[in-house]
Amino acid sequence: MATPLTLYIPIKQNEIAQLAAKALYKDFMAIVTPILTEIQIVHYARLILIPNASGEGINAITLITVFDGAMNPYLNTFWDSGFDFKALLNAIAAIAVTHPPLPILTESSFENFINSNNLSQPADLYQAYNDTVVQVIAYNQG
Amino acid sequence: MSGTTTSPSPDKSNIQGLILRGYTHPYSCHLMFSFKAPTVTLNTKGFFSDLYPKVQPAVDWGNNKPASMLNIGITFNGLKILGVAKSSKSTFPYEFQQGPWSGGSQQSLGDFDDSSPSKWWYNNFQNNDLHCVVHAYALTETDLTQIISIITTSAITNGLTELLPLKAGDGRLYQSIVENDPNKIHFGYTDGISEPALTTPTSQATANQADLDNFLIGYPQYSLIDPGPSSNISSNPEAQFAFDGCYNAFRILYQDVAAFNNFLIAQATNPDNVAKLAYLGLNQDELVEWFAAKLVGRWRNGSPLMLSPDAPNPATADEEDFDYTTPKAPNPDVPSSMRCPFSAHTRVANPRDQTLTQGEGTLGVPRILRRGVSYGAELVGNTNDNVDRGLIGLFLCGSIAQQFEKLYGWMNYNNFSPPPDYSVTKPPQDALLGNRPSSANSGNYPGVVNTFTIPILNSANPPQPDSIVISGLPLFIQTRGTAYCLLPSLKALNYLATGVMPTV
Repeated sequence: MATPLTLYIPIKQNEIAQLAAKALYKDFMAIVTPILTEIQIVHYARLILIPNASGEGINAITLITVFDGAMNPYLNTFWDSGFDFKALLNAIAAIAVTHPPLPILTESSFENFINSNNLSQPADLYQAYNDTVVQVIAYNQG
Repeated sequence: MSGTTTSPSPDKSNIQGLILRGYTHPYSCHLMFSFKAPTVTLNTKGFFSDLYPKVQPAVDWGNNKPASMLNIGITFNGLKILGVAKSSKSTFPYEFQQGPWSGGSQQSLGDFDDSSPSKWWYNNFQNNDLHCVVHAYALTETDLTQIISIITTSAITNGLTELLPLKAGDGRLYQSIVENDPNKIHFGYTDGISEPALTTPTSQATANQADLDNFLIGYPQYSLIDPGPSSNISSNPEAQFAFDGCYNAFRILYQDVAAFNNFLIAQATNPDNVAKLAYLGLNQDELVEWFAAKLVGRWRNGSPLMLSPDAPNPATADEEDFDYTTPKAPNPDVPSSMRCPFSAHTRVANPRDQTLTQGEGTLGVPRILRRGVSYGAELVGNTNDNVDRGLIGLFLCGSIAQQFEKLYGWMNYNNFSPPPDYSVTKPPQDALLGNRPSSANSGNYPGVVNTFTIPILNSANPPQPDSIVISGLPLFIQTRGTAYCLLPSLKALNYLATGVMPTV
């Protein structure tokens, strides 16, 4: 089964937070590509900066991804993937309007932060195919 | 979460006994309550005050085994009513907050069709209304009757509503004894083998999944699981209350014993199977036991197939010092499947040193503490008598998601068994406990097959391998209901009885 995750995190409206959001957007692919390639459960992932309605500045960071496995146990795979992911998460949390006490060091704090900002439910996903990432790779390898 | 000093040792007098030891009391009843009080004033403080003196801590009882005792679990909805858990922005784990019927948990538990959460507890009550489970244990039937009376009288006096989970009898969950052995389950296997050692780690390097700090809340120093809530404990009342607690995935599973017995007989009398297995020289009854062992990975007496591949052996009945890999083999996981099939229940639930896919992470195989007993009368013969019987499962863990739900997900979708017979493109399910998906929900388990493959030797040319492939594995179990409870510490229960918050 694939699980949708739509992480919508409104950010602070100050200059530091706004610059940090732009930096996160710029660095996102370089940070996550080796992690996601290694764990082989993520179909797609992208980070989006949502503009304010006024057109000035950034309202929120949104991370959209679809990954294999159940939401609850497999969030751990991301948390367990190493320092870079934890640093990325804490950088996002640091500019969030609402966040748990920083830094986020425990698994349960991480899970609650993700789940409290996730706008998708497991059933909220259309899939053209049901195959998992490892299955797709296996098929491609013949 | 680093360092080299010994992790602090928990105070056993503050931990509910069920967490550190399995009880052998032959009588037990698992009573369920709601804190909803439509007609009288609810007095939970009075209820917990009445029950507190009978709560068994984890200290050694020496030679004076208590005649009766109890342990208590509380759901997240119960904790909210008690004023312990916050209604919003709670720091308790998300899956505990949401409950086992939630979409997130059901991704792992896979309770479809007749097992659906919408049908749990025979619809005698709503899932959200279950707030407290009291586990009562006794040495005699009279002792059990007395402690049940203490509990239910207090419940009535203090405005709690008892919830009845079954249809049969008085609707309560009583332990039953199968084959005069409290450790036997209705399928005939000895249960409770291969429990985590609950060791105390002394460094990060020696930390492993069987350590106690992965089951008890509040010992994050070397914990791989880090049970929560544990952060900011000095300023977080939820973490203070949860300290020294443990979660219980309380799951009631109906077991279709007639279907199981007849499945075994059908396999043992199938002419193709009999011909392929002729080289073993087994009679029909012995073949039944052989198939029963292959389904689980242990003979019904407990002997693991990895150590006793040909017949049960009393000397290995409790043995768990074995692994599945053959280091120098081309695929190290495969040779062991000649003894223990990949989707045998005990191999799926604890694959030990078997290779996992990258997506399973790097922390190793999660463990759980099993404290289950049987319910319902023993089946006589092999014809379905429509009696409700099965397992009262108490699966204790520090993280419901990382331990219970992860292992349950593997039972429903075991996608790390290696090729060539097993493949990521056609993953099997646990041969005994997998919830077989119907076509309507098979998309949840991409490519899943309901076959069970047993590697054997080729009877015509014994050094060469062959296999028995059983198609259409039946559904042997049905979920009657599930609740996620916190087993709070003794100090936390005392808080519920007195209003004095525990200090950590």
